[in-house]
Amino acid sequence: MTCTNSTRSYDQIMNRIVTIALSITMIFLSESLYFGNQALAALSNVSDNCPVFSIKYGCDLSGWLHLIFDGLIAAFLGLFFHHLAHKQGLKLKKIVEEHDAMEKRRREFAIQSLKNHFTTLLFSMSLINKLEPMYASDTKNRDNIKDQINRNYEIISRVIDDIKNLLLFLNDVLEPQIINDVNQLCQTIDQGYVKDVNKQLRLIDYTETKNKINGLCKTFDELHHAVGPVQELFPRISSNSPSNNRTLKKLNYQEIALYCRRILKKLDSSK
Amino acid sequence: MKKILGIDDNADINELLDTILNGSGHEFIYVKSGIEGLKLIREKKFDIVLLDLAMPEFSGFDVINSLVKEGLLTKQKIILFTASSVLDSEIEDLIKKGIHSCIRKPVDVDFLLEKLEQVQV
Repeated sequence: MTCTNSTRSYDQIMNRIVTIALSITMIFLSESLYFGNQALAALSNVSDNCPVFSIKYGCDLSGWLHLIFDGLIAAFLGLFFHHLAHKQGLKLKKIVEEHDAMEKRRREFAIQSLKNHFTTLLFSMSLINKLEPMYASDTKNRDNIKDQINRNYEIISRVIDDIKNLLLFLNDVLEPQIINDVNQLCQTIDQGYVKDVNKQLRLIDYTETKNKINGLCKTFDELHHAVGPVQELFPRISSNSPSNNRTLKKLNYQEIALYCRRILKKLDSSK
Repeated sequence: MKKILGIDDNADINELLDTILNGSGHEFIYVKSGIEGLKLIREKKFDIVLLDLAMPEFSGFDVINSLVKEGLLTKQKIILFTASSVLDSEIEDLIKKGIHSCIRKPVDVDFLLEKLEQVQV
């Protein structure tokens, strides 16, 4: 880092020296040509014997020679300004490229964070969804199950707050359509908050939320082409693989409850 | 029952995966950084490693490169579990190196369990 900075400052100093030297040369050239011309003219004793292109004592500069000198000065000045403009152009190009790269990184970060948050939402909601039947049937462990459900709702609330903050701070790199859709999703989840009325829980509509999240991810892919299509790659498993014919092991809710209880016990003991 | 290692810097996802996977009969442990994950992979044998790519300091790519150097990549069943915008061609390259497969976030629990179940140990 120090090496890069010192190299950069050395380059900057060299560029400045070159620019100053060029400026002084240009000023010297233009001034000497102009004043030399004036001096010759002032000292002249115009004679009819002065040829068109002659530069000598007693002869004024002709219009042609004026034109040539002026042209040369203009060419020098043109080159000098072109050099300056080119330098500024390069600087501007670098600034624009850095800005674009930063914007790309921020967009990538925003989408990545949103996808992580969505994963957390889906996991938490899925767990709530799976614990809900136990809440109605398992009267002995109702409190534990409710604690677990509430804990997941706390995660959901926090994730929704994080998503809202993300939208606030990164709204310049996200498409308005995405911001609207994500806001709507947050509203849907907010409205579906769990309520314990007569031992009945009103839960988030998981399928609806999942569909909305899938829709959002498709929109990400369509609007931001850098993001690959949402699909999963399992190349080593063919469709004829015997593992596909096996009965899939589903979540054992009883085991979840036991595991949750173990966590709660650990938490209680740590207190 | 499969022994699964999760390498992800997202604490919520780790905690939820812990509940879900341990609750569904698997043995799941997680670490929050690539360096810790690499250390565990060297020390222990896992049936599946769920690896996030975008992590600070030592990313999933760094883990993969280190495993390639040490010749450990093909000995593990590493599944990329990522929200990063990795192109399919890049994933294909990683699979050629020895990565097992890729699951893009977001996914729901059932899908994840189904895919983990499909992995032959």
